[in-house]
Amino acid sequence: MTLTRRRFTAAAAAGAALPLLATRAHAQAVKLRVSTIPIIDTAGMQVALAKGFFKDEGLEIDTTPTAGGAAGLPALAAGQVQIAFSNIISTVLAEKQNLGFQIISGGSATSDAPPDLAGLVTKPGAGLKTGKDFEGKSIAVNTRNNIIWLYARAWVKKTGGDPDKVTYLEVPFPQMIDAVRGGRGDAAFVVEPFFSAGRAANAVELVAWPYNSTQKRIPVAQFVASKAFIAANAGTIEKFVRAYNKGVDWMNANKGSDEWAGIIAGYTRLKPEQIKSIGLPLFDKTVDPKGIDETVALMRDHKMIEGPVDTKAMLYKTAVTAVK
Amino acid sequence: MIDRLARGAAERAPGAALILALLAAIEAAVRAGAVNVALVPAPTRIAERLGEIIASGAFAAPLAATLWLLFSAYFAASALAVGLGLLMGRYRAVDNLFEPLIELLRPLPKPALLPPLILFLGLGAPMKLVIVGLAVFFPVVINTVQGVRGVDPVLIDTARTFGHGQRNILLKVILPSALPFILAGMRVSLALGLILAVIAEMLAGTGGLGYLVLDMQRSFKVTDMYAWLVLLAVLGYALNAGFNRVERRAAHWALAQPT
Repeated sequence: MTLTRRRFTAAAAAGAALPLLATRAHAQAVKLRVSTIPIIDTAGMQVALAKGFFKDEGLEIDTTPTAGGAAGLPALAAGQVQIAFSNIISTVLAEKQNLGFQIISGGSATSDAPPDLAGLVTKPGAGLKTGKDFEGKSIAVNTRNNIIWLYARAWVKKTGGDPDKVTYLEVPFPQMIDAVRGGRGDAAFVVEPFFSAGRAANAVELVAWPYNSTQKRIPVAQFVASKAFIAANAGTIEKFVRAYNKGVDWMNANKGSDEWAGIIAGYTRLKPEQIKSIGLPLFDKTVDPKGIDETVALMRDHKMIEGPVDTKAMLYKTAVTAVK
Repeated sequence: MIDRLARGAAERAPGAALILALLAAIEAAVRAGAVNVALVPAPTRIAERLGEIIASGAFAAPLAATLWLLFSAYFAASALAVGLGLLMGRYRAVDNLFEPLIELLRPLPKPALLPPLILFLGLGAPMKLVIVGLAVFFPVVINTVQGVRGVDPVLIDTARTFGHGQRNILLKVILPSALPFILAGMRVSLALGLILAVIAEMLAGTGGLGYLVLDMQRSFKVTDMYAWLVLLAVLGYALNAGFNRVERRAAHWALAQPT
């Protein structure tokens, strides 16, 4: 039988398809791109990654660090990532603009009393104590129009200052302590673990707890996905949240241990010794819509939004009932 | 004159039609639901929002802030650049001194200088003025040098014959002769200056058009963001058109010069 061109092409096509069929059998793992922030709030996910909980659920996670939810949610909107870790303020703002997101998990929160997971710091001896002192000065926030920005403003207002007279500089969390130390900003509202690392090095001193002085039990940040993605991949979302919740459980059981410090030091680029002294935020596996309502009221006070927000509709079922 | 205007309009008509056609296509796509309206609002909505911003006067303060930044740095840096360029073009010694430094810094994309500049000057007005000034400086100084070198030596000799001193020759013969070149450099600098002004405002966070565009994105107010972008585009267009008029009046003789 002669090798005609048609027979050759057919054979080549069949040959090329063989490896594809073989990989099909192995390609069980679902790939997910997740935008994260290198702060203590995402420790649960990082633990789940390090301990292989995602792999156990058949998920391959590819993380993209961002400065904050205000930067991660646009990536979510563009489809560049499937899940984004975002603060509640940015999520509410996106919801108000009908970008079609939903909260799929619990995340970080504050408790009834300090220490919070973030504090307002200045150079030691700067002498800035109240909101009035901060008029004409600058406070470093990771991005503007998010939770750090809002509660910094709320604190300035509460302590007698005009929040509009303060400048809010955008500085990524890992660089905030250096920004204050170098005089680029007068203060920073900085999150763990950088907060404790800065204090331990005596580079900064604590001025106030803007979260706690404004509101108790704030649902600070959670994982968010688009409604379209959730509808098409409900099983994957459940697996993601289950693995994440396992990470949270492990963290609660092993906080303070060397392994725990090692994982957190890894993704925040700090040293394990610096991690040991940090304060841990509350890690709930669900979100209470009442907490969001209070935050929305604060947003309204600061003219960030107008009109009603359906906070219950913002929560997907995996954020309401913990996935086991 | 009507004839000239009509001709100008006829030439521009296809281009304007293209823009309108693109806008209509986007509008149709949004109405048909083909694009996510939260990311790409309908052009008519953007126009509406733009109208609201203009009617309420909300555009005034940010526009003033950006223009203040741009013009302060632009005129200061241009004056410096023209001054240095005149000296460099005229006197070999000055040129030998500064040319290597300028050649080293010129190819650097000026936004790349923002990180070191922020370390030195922080995020306030000095940083913004310096970065815009740097962007403006180089095209103007280089064009000024070229312009000075291209001056007809006969003109200079004639001036010397008439007994003019160095300063008069520089200001009354060389500078006007080099003006077309200088203005060409200043036109490029105007565009670069606006770009750097917007970027600097995004970083500094204290107001201006650049700050607002980023702020609207951060708040997911997408329609507002596009409205401010349109304002920025109109500003760029207006600045360029304004510059053309100034150029035509300042260097009109360059068109009349025999080649």
